[in-house]
Parts: sequence; structure tokens; C-alpha cells
Amino acid sequence: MSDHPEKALAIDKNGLSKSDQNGDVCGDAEAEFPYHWLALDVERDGFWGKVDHASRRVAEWFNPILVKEARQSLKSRQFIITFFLLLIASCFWTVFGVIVNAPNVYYVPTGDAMIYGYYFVLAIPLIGMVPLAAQRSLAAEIDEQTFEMLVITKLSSMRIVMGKLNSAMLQMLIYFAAIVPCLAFTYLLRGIDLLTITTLIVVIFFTALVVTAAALMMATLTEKRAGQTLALLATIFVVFIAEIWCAAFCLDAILRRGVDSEELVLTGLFVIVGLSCVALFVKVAASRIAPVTENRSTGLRYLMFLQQLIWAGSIGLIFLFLDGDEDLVSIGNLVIGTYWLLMGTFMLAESPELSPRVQRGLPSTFAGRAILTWFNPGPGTGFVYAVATGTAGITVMALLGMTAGGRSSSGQSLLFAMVMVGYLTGYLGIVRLLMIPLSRRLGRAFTLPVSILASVLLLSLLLPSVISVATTGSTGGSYAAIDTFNWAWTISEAMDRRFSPNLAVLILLVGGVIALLNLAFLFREFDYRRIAVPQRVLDDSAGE
Amino acid sequence: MIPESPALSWDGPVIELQNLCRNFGETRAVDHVSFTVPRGSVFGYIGPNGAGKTTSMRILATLGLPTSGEALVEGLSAINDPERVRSRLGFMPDSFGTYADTNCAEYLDFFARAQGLIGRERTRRLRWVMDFTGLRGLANKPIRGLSKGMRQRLCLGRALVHDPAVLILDEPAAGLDPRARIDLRRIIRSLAAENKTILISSHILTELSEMCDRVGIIEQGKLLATGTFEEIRGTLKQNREIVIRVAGETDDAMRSLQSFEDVEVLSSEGHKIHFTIHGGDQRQMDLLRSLIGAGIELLEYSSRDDSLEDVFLQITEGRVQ
Repeated sequence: MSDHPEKALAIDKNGLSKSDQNGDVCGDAEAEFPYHWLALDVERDGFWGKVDHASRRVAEWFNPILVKEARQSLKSRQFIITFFLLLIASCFWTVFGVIVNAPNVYYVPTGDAMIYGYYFVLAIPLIGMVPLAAQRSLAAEIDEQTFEMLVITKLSSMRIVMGKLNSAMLQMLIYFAAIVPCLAFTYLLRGIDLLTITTLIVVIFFTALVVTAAALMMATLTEKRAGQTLALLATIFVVFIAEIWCAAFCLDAILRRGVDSEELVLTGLFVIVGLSCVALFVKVAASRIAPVTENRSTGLRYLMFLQQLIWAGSIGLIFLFLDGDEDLVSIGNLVIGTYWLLMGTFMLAESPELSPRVQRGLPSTFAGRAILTWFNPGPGTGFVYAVATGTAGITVMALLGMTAGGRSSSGQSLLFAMVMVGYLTGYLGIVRLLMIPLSRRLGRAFTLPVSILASVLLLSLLLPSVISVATTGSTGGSYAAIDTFNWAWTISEAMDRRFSPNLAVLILLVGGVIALLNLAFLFREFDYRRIAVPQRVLDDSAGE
Repeated sequence: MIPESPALSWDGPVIELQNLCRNFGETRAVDHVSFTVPRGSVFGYIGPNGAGKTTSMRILATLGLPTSGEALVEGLSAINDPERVRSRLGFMPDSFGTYADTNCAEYLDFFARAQGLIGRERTRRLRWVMDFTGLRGLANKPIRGLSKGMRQRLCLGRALVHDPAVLILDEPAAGLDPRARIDLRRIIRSLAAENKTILISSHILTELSEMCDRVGIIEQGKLLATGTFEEIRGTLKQNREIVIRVAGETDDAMRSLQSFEDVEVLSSEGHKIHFTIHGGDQRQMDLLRSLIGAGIELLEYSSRDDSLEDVFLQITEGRVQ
């Protein structure tokens, strides 16, 4: 570092530096203050020069955020402490395992016992530390006012989020590299095969990836300090759940029972579903930080549709290859219904006004408008999209259930599907109808429809009991028509295959009426037409 | 020399605000503000705290949305085509954050990469920015250890690293010592000489009067006046401060001066009289002729026009919202 920073102010009377157009400095400034290596084109001869040159060229393709984060976070105290703790823990477990198993370690397979310790040494930093560090990294950009400088660069919002995710993956790889010798040692101790070790690593890695993507998404949900604290707490909760799930899956399903075709199929499905979640979370995070005038919804809607296909496909696959039953289909249906209720609620927070920029990208043909309008941003299109796609998914599940149950129970699958569709359209429709007046007064933060949904769901849980107490003086013992408001009890009854067809039809009809009421407010959003791209933009595009 | 900018094909106003409005609840922070800035000129944006300068600059820098109106950079909308606008502008906010565990060179290198500069082009720009901002000797220094002036230079370097056609500088001189301000003034003039279009806000009005080609005065979200300093001053009732020194007593001179309706005597001390006169050069010539005609023996005569601060005080009312 220079001892004479004031001498660096080599600016002449016109305010120009003494550098020439090529950046070469005149006079003695070069000798006193050589350029930083980042500002130099280092060209070395020989083999290592070529390697250096090739490496530089490859690095040009890296995401700038990854480069920055690699420089920054690998110097950070958090990374250094975590890395050394990981090394110490793996060394300790190795020595401890060998001592405990000695002298059997020489002739009895002990790898299967040792892997348990290495699992925790790897899973805790990967699933615990990396997501939290990633979330802090993105949240700190907002907190410390560096984010605005970032978004006005050429980096798209997606590249910013992907840069953060790539950086987290780099940290995961470094932690993984540190423990590879231990895993090799475990394999050499025998008692565990390569397939099991690989499956274990894949599950840990993908769990960490999903949790990291979720953490990044949560970092973008709010800019307020209190909101960021809540988001951090939510991330810690997700991390906790993920650690428990991953431990249960890895230690019980993979290590205790061993890897067979069932575990491989489940792992494969987990990877596919996990990847779709990563894509969705990353897209949500990117949409949250994208310019407000950009179309931040259509891409998400495509991804949601893809997720439904993956989910339905996964259930179908398990059903076909792993002896699935009607319960599995009911769970699949429940997930689809809940998923679209939640996603539909988020879509209700979108603005019904489309910016000129979004209108430039609207479908122009009649067929395009008829099919793709539901992918346009807006609460009305969002409502229709969630209800229509959810209904389609639930119907497919019902058909699968009817195939599974045969003649005896196929009706119950259909009834359960009717209940789910009725609740989806009914509750989502109520939230939308309440959002219309409330959003004018309270704005369109996503927390508003979520709060309305939570309130409506809670009220509908309590309503039957309140009515029952008010009319009969007791809460009532058995399920009655009034209890159709109580969605939790109704779903439980329907899953137990003891539901009345009349009540299922009633729920579907009520849901349908609420949906029709909603359609009355939809026409404005349907009326948007594609507008022409301004000539100046076309000229600018042509000049690029 | 500064490297040449990319082809400058747009021949309209480089910066244009059209009826820009921005409401925050009941408060109208920006109220139908319109102005244009031609290429290669420095536009000073003047107003008290809370006048709406930063809000409108942030909209122009694609960091905020207006309630209505349009903000254009080289004819492209900052609202609907922010990516196209971003590649053309460098923004230096009044306060900005920096990264921990990062030195100046890494910081600039990161933003150069983020602006899409690769290979030799990036290293060339880095060398230029380091030289231009005087950060070459501080390249290895952690940003957290920089002085306020050096941080401002670093932020300016970041804004310049991709060679933008437009610079938006929000209070760049705030908190700088006199030497750093002089350096900054030189830097801005030299950038304007290189055909950069600069929108700059500052509280230090004397500095703006020296470096700006045109100014806009804003208060309570409304643009009260815009044009060159002389144009704005021409629209106002001009005050000129004059000091004369006479031979002998000042009584006769005082009497002559008081016969003028638009003269206001401020003080009289010894042989000197300090007074103001409303009007331009012609009015001043009349006064001087009349004094000499009345037999007043003038030894010294000096006048001072309204400064930008005086003009600012005349136009604004000191209201904040």
C-alpha cells in the first residue's frame, strides 16, 4: 500500500490526470504507484503464462457477483471460522472413531459407523451456515446501501440473485472439498458403498441448495429492518426444519436401510422437485428486486405450472412404481390445493395496472390472448390462473385416485377433489373480493392478502363452533353441514373417506358462486392490448 | 486524455424531465417538474433540503418511480426502459454504502465487471479511473479506511467506470474540505469538456455558479426558475451593491443618492458609502453620471452583482415540506 496517498492526486490544472489515453502514466508516478494487478494486462510466457491467460479468459465469464463474493466472503471471519471448525470437527471425529474402534478398525468394516459423524460435520455448515450467510449477504446489500449501486449496473436482477447463489454453492464446494478425504477414508474402512456415500452427498447438497434459495428469497421480501429480522427468523426456522428432514432422510432411509431402488427413485424425485423449488425461489427473489415496471409475474406463473407438472408427475411415478395408494393421491391433492391457494394469494398482491413496458409484451393475436392472458400480471388473471391450474391438477390427481381405489373407493377421491376445488375457489375468491377495497386504502404489499387469508381461514375454523354455541349452547359432537366452514375438519373427514357427496357438492357450488362474483371484476384486466415498442427503443436496439 | 465515449447518435436533449410528479402519501415531493439538459452541459439543481432534488434525481437514475410524468435519458424512458438508461448513466448518490473486506481496486473492478467490461477494456478503464480520480496510490487500501473525500472520489470512479454519457451527482461536495472541493470542481469541468452531460445538486451555491452552465431552482417540489445564471438573474429585480469613496465629506453624495428612488443606502463610514441600486447597467450609468454632474468627487467606485445565493434567496421562500 502506498505511504504517500496524497501524491496519487496527479491531476493537472484541467482536472485531468497525467495518464495518457491508454492509461499509461507519464513521469515518475508509475514508479511510485504501480498499478494494482487488477488494472494490468499481465502476459507471461511459457506454460504457466498460457494457463494464467486461459484462466483469466474463463473468469471473464463468471458472474461478477460471484467474483466479488469470492474475494469478499472468503476473507470473511464467518467463513474462516466455519471452515476451521469443520476441519477440526472432521479431524476429531476421525481420531475419535479410530480410537473407539481400535483394534477392530483393521479387520471389521466400520465405515458405516464413521459416516454418521461426517454427515453432521458436512450437513451443519452446508444446510445451516451457508443459507444464513447467503441471506445476510443479500440483506446486507439492502441494509448498507450498496444494493442501489448494484441494480443500476448492467447486471439483471436474475444475475444478481444467481451470483449470490453461485457464491453460496462455491462455499458449499469448499466445505465439501475439505471433507472429501474423510469420506474417502470412510470408504476405505469398508461397510459403506460408493452409491450410498454419493446419494448422501446429493441429498445434503440439494437440501442446502433449496434452503439457500429460500433464504435468498426471504432476504428480498422486505427492506425494513424489522421485516429483515423476521425474515432471518423465518430462515432459521426453515434451516432447522431442513436439518431435521435431511437427517431423517439420510440417517434413516439411506444409511440405516441402505440405498435400494425405492431410495434412488425418491432421491431422484427429491432432486427434481428441489430444483424446481430452487428455480421458483430464485425467480421470486429476482422478481422482487427487478424494476417495478418490468413483467415480474409471467415467468413465475410458468414456473408454478412447471412445478405442478413435476408434482403430479412425481405422485404418478411413486404411485406406479412404489405401490402408491389413495392416501398418497389425497396428500398430492392437498399439496396442490394448498400450493395454489398460497400462490394465488401472492398473485392477488399484483397491481391491476400494467406498465407500458409490460403492455409491449402482451400477446397480439386472438388465440394468443385467449390462451396466454392468464399469464399476464394482475390480481384478476392471477385468480383465474390459480383456480384453473389448481383445478386441473386436482382433477388429474382425482383420476389417479380413481384408478388406484378401483370401484369401491373411486367416489371418495372425486369427493375429496370437489372439496379441495371448492375451498380453493371459495377462499381465494373471498380474499380477492376483500382485497379490492382494502388495497385502495392499504396498498398492495404481499403481506395484505396473506394477512386476509390467514384471518379468513382462522375465522372459518372458529365460525361453526361460535354458531353452534350461540344456537345450541354447546360446540356439537359430530360433523354437520355447518362444519363445512371448518376446512381442517372437513379435509380430515374427506381424507378419511367418510364424506357426504351432498356436502362436497355444496362446497363446490359455494366456491363456484364466489368465483363467478370474482369474474365480474376481471374485464378490465382482460381488456389490455399490446402496444407498439417506441421508435426510440427500436432505434437503440438496432444500434446495439 | 479521457477515452472517447461510444458513438453519440442522439441529438435531442440528453436529460429531459416532462411534468414529473411524485407523491409520498399526502406530500407532493416533486410537482410537475420539467426541464431539459443538452449534451455536454452541467446543470445545477438547487433547492433547500426536502425540495425534491434527490427524489427527481433518483427517478432519473431509475431508482424510483414517478406518480406521473416522464424522465428521459437520451430519449429513452427511465421508467419503462431502465436497463437502456442505466447503461448510459453514472449515478453518485448523496450517501452510499461500501463492501466490507474490499479494497478500492476490487471495488472498482467489481463494478467494471458488473457494467459488462471485459478483458483489456476493463483493465484500461480501471487504470483511467484510478488516475482520473487520484485513487491509484490507494488501490490496495480497504474502503472502510478511506477519508470522506477519498470515498467520494471512489464513488465518482464507480460512476465513471463504464464511461457513461450522463452523470447524476447528488450533493457530491457535501462534507468535503476546500481542497477536495476544488479538485471535484476541476474534475466536473473536465468531464463536461469531454461531452459528458452532468446533473449536479449542491448546497454550496458559489461552487455551482462556477461550474454549471445552467441551473434549476426547486422548492417544495416545484421548479421555480431554470436557465443560465444570467437568464434567471435577468428575470428578477436586480440588486447591485455599490461602494463609492469620495473626496471630502459624504453629505453631498448622500443627498444626491437619496434623490434616487431605487437607491437604498446601507452604511456610510468615513469617506465610503455603501448602497444598493435596483436595475441594470443603464441605471448604474445614470447614477454615476448624476453623481459626477452634481460635483461629487469620486475616488473609488466598485459594484457587485447578485450572487447565485442572492438569486436563490430571492426566488425561494425557505419553505420546506
